[in-house]
Amino acid sequence: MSIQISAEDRDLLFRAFQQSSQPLTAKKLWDGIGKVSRFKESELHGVLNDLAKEGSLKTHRAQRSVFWLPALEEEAKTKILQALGDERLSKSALENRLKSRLVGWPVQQRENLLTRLVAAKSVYKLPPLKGNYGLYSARPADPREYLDKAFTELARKILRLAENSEPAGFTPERVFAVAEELWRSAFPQAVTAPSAPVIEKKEGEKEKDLNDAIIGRMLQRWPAAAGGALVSVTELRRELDAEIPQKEDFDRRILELAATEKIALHRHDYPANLEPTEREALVTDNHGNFYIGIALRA
Amino acid sequence: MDVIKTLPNPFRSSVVSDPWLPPETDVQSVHQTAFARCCEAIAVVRSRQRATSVLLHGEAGSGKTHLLARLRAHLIAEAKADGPGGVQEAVFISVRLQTSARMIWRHLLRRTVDDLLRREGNNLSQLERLLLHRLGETGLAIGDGRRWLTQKRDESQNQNLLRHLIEPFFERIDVAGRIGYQLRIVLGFLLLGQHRGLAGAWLRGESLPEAELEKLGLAGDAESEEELEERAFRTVIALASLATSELPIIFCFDQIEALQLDGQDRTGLVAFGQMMSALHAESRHVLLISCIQSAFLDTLHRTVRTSDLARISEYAETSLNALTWSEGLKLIRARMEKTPELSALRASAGDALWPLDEAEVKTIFTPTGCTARMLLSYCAELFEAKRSGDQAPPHEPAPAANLFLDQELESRKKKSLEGSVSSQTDQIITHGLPALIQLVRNKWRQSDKRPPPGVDLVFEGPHGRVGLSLCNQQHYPSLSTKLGHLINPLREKQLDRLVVLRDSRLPLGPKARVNRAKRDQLLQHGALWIEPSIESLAVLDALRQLLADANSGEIDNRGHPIGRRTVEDWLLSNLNSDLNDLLEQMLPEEADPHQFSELLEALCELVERHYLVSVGDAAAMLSREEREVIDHLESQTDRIGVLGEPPAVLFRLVPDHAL
Repeated sequence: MSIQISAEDRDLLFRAFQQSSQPLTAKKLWDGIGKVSRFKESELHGVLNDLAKEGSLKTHRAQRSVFWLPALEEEAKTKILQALGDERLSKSALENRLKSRLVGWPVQQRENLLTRLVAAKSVYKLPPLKGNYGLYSARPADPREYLDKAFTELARKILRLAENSEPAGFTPERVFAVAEELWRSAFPQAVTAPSAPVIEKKEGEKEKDLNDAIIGRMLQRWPAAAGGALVSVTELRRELDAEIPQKEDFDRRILELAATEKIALHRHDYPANLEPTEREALVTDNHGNFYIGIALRA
Repeated sequence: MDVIKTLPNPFRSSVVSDPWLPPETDVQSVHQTAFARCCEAIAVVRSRQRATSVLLHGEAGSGKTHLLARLRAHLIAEAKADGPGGVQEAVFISVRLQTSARMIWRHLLRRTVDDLLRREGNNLSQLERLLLHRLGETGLAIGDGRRWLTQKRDESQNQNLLRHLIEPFFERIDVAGRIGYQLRIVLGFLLLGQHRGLAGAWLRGESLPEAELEKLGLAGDAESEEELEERAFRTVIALASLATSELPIIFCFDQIEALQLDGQDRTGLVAFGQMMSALHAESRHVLLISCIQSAFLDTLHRTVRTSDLARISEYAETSLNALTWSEGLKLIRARMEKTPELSALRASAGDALWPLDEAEVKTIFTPTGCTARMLLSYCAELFEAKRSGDQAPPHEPAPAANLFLDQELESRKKKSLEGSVSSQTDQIITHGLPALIQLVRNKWRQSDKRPPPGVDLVFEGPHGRVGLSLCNQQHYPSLSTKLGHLINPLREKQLDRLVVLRDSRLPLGPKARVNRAKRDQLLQHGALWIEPSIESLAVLDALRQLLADANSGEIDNRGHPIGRRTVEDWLLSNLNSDLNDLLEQMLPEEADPHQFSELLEALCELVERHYLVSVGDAAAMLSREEREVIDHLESQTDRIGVLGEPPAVLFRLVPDHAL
């Protein structure tokens, strides 16, 4: 049978939860509100369970059950992302960091939050680079990191064989042809049919793809950009260094995007106050304007 | 173009500096995303009953303050449309952060109270609306709120209504006990319209003499600087707790850049971050909107703690972008349509931008757009050119305008003199003096170590450590406590020099025997006692405001923002000797034997009280010879007005600019 409490007491309960940065046991809650509430301590557990049933609170049932507001989970997820930062951490290293950041959260709930972040692609579970244990990161992995070493080694062997082909009785071309044959048979899903023509994209399409990639990367790396938050040009350029290594090319593309009104550029109002290196790192249009940030237009 | 010769220029007033003023023209589609996010955030506060925040950024002149004005106007319109019993207009608090880290909460409190007590026309003040709303919620105020209030105010003249009404009211609404006894009393006075001036002053955190506190029935405590800051914090939180989901409070923070003394200074921004976190954590029905320049965003991210940043932009972080050509067109047309005569002329012109030329207007647009302020300034020039029949002015960057900056400084000085009150002296000195020292005396810097008790600022330079203590308390026990703390730093040589500053409008009266004795003791130990003139305080105030406005992109010369460095260079090039004189007044190298005397102080205090007094009466009241009084007046005509030759009448001096 559910226990009726007054609107004032309900208000009191929720305020106590709002003011807490961690889940609370019934005892801890009672320590905070016992003196001013109108219901009895013996009734508190029942009240909390009722609130959990109606969905106003979340709970983890254990010997000492804890309760929290659903909104606290968002805060907890933010703390998990902050714990990761820009690093890649093993499960145990992450768990160690979370112990101090998510005080009062049961281990199982911490795991649940992490699982949900992975499902939402806010956190990525990366294959191990070394050993058997995977890593967690707030940024997606690049396959290159995993394959680079193996391919470099393989390429070295193929080239060495090609260099020593003549005394062995075959040509370098034969070496490369066999290598390609072996590649195709190993990864049939990755290869187009030999007779299918490789369609070269027109320059204009390539340009468009790369310009679109700029916006795509903005949204992926800085989700708040979708709402109009400003993204630093220097950070974006660093992020796209592999795809657009030349600053002039990057600046040109950014200015093109601005001209099409897909993005808005924010000028630095006092570029003369900057150090030369800081100023040169900004996007410039060679008319004396230095742009410090990019925002998506609606 | 004769037809428009007599018409006002519709493009003047390109700078919106006050979000309380309704926007001159508003194009809804411009900055619609940012506006929508603010409205959504208000809805979240109303529905989910928790505090949240929005961070807005844009170039100087992009329209941040204009957006706040639009938001306020929207809330008013929404409430009116919904009618009585419907959605209520939110309470609006606008805070320009021209302050220092040490006084950030006191500054916030002062601005909050100023806006809470603001009333427009015959309407209720925001505080009255808040209290009436809460009274209605509790059932203590029945029916029409204004009529009920008028009735209670009439009744309260004859009865001790305060206790019978206010106590049960706060018992019901303040379950968490945030609103202390003294605050309840003061809020009661303000609600019932009693002791408005004094109650407002107390609420702002001003130091009041004991006699005035007695009128309010309050006790004064001798509080240290930290305690004053803590009290300001608790008072702000207590006032914020009056908000409800139906009537939330929106805090709008502007000129955050003004908290930074120079590029390396972190203390102001760190304090801002902490303040925002505290407001967010301790309040429920509150929306915090912060506005910064885009160029400052990186500094904010680097300086403020990550957890504080999250609380500054919890609901949204969004930009106010430069206008596209189509947005610019809408803005120009909207401005011109606002003037009926011009609108009528335009109807027959056939050209969308008449009397302006589209090609000419377009020259100011780059492929990346144009800020609203720059566009309006340029259109203002084009319009003038059309009126006078001149060629359109070519768009060139505005030259560094010495005359312009000179006018800017003068207008700020005039405004400061007009509104000058002794309760603002601490704010002026703590915010302005470090900026002045940095500007003029390169070898000096403000110490970042904690100053000794009683000392407010410490500067380190070639002559050692100079401490400055601001002793502007009107509550004599508080002043006594502070003066008492100052003897130790001198005895223990923690400072090489101590300067004690008291506003010249606050002379120590004849009853201040204890304070006079403590002052004498400090002087014997080598401290300097200075009382800067109202004019020098006004100059310092104007200077700090000019620098703060430049930092925040609000100094605009024909659409082009003038930055802090330009202003600093101009000040050093043009006013170097004046700035040094000003600094010499604030931090003198040696004591001026003629500046301070007990008799002069007593005379100042006498004219403060009596306004006009004959020399004979003054001498009699102070038990001095007339000759002695006249001798003392000869070099002090900037502090006391004198009539007659030889002086026969003394009067209270009011600066020319304040008249």
